[in-house]
Amino acid sequence: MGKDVLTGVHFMSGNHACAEGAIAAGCRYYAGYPITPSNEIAERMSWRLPQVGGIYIQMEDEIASMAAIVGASWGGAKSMTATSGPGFSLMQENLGLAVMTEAPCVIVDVQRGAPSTGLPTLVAQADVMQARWGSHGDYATISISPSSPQECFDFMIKAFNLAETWRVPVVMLSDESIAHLSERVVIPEKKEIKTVFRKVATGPKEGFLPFKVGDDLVPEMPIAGSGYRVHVTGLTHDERGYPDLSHRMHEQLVPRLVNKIKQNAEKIIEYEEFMIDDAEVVLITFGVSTRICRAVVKRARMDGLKLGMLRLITVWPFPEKRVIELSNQVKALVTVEINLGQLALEVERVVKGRCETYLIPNAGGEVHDPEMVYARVKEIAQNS
Amino acid sequence: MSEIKHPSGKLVREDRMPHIFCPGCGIGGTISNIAEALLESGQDLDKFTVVSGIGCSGRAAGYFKLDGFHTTHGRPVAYATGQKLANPDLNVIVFSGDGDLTTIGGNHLIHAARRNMDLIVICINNFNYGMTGGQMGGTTPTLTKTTTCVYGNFETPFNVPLLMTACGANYVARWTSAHSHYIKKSFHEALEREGFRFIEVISACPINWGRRNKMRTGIDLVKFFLNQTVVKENPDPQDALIQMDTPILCGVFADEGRPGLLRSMHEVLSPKVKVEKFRGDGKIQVPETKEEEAPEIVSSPKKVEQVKIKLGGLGGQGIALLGLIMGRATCIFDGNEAVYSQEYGAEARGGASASSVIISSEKIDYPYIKVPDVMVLMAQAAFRKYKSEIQPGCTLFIDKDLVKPEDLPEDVKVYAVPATRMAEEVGRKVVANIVMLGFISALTDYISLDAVQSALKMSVPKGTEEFNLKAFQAGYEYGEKLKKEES
Repeated sequence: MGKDVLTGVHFMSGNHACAEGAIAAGCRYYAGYPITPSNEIAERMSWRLPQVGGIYIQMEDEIASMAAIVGASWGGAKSMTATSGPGFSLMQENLGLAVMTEAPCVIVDVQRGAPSTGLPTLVAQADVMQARWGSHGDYATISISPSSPQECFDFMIKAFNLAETWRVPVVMLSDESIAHLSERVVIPEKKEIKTVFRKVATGPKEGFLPFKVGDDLVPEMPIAGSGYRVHVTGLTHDERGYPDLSHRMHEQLVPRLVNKIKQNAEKIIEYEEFMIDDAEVVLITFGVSTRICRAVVKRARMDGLKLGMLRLITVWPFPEKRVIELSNQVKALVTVEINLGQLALEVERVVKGRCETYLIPNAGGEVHDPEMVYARVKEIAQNS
Repeated sequence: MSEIKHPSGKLVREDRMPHIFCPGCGIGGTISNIAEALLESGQDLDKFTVVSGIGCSGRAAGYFKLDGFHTTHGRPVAYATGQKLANPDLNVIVFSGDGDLTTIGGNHLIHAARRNMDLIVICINNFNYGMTGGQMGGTTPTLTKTTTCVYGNFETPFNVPLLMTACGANYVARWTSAHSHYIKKSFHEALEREGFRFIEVISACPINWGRRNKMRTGIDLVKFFLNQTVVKENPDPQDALIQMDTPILCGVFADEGRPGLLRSMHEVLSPKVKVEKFRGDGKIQVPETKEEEAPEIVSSPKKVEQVKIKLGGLGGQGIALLGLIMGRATCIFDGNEAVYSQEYGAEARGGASASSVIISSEKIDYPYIKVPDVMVLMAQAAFRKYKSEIQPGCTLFIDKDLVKPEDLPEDVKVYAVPATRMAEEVGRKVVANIVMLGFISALTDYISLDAVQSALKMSVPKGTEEFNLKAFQAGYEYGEKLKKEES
């Protein structure tokens, strides 16, 4: 039996670090379909999972992959898949099933240039809204975004813990750039890694209500085969799990599924701030663009320009509270993202004109040029 | 109502009665047949799950008093694959309809049969989409009518037993909903086997299909089935296409005894990795193994100004490995920062390609190189491709025999080593990259010599360490000699 936590110092790509983070988090089931630029995750999982008693299976497409990880989740495993834009599109249907049946699982979306086949081997960050709204209907899930291979490792553990705690699919919004950069990855001792497993149903089997919740709005999960004999459906259902196709029941269920994230947002949301205390202009960013923005802030500070950065670790739920606070403090908020304005919409929605809002877009294919960003930021600082 | 008990009440959710099925429908009866067979089996029913898709038959999962999963349209086989593999103790039964399994879910069905996935699939085939009002599907017999083929279906339906046997299913049977006894018998046989087991049940849908095809009641359809079916021993699946004017062939079309996927998986993997039984609770016990000594990082790494190194060459020259060794040496053994990236693209194979390493004592923000401080070139094609990036102040390391630099800007220092020739002298051309690494190490100081050698040892195939170190040494000595001549 191989080691599940490769404690030590490594020089590792973002994709490989995602795979090791998943295994360290306790993931023992991977189903996927090959797609660039996510393949190194599947390749490493196919090699590593058998060593730790886990299952790797390559499915016939991404629809099947997503269905299989939801099935595996109800089967009792921590499960995941990895993909990129086109595959992520195919997964949306069963991502909705995971939401409705509250199946914890993790989807790594290694973003690439889009729409359609787009730029298969080049970076983008244009799946922000797909991660939030890709499946049909109202729902709330969690998306987190790494900016380095080390964070790929660390955030996969975070992703599984969030998925298991809140019983939702968690999207790891990686991208081609981070996926293929190699850097130092320090893997801690196994005992230092905190992992979470879902609240498992242990009470009496007679009269058990699989979708009854307490204050945290998260029900206990009966693992398939443990004798509870539950019914689980993607239809609107009551506490027994039985279909109840009424307006009344829908008004209970869907708001509860959204509120378990909304109401607990403060416990879920994480962000990183850089040089923000006295900042007059703040860059809002996430993922690989964090690195570019950090370089720009350092450069601006050398010139005496009061620039700061708010970097979202949790992209969804969006840190509304913090952005509102900042909008009362600064002259301008500038969103930097490798798309034509997705997170920027959210910033504008929340800021409601309290300060200036700008976007520095990039259609994808390359990360932002720091010099271009700095030139634009200087203009903005002078005009606001 | 409360005193009326279902005969298989132990296995049917009586609190969900009345069910949704129309009068004369064959699905309810088939559910009862399977429930009876399960009760007769004497097995631990807690370990059975039923997975359904969408449609009338898709509601089956909700009527069995088992762990039941009502999933998405077409996907129950894929879902069940996840559940069974994650928890092999389970007996996972897929119970769904023809449209769900063979049409929208056709790809999952054929691949589950191909990989001989350990599942029992009950496919209710009533020739149409009943739940949505009776549209045609992949199993609607030619010339029969539905709401979306009102002039008669001009397509040819799937011959489902032929499809399943062709895909490699271990066990394939077909009956009609009028054949309760055979359905139960087949289910018992399926339970005794492993791998992919498929039972098609041709089923009465009087309201949506029969009504439009001159069989208005359940009785009409049962009569049709009993008159039209031929039950054969070892029937040939080639003859199993359903047409309205030929016999409906029933029987067991395949009973192969091939190992199921889980057994195949274990047979292939267990000699190579020690696979313990997957417990399915996410809490695998990993036995303690002897720890490999983790490399120690230098406690006070030496200060290095940021240096950007671009490496270019042809596929097979080991340019990527060269960059990777530099990165490992810096990060793991020197305790400094390094970012390594590769020009990435499937279509780049064959031509010149490059990788980049940035080394620094400080955290590296922007991870790419626009203007390299150092360029290492192992082929003329790479020189041509990346020449425009060579700016004044750049240091160039080249293979003396393979790269002839022309039109260089002023103030570019060129160090040349016959790396490929020397590699051939050492014994193998493939270590030219390692000769180059030794050469660079002698002439630069941003990575310590110990670090490079340690990283080299961990990066080459086991057993070739000495050979690679010899190549490294040759390059290093060549560089040292050059350095002396210069000073």
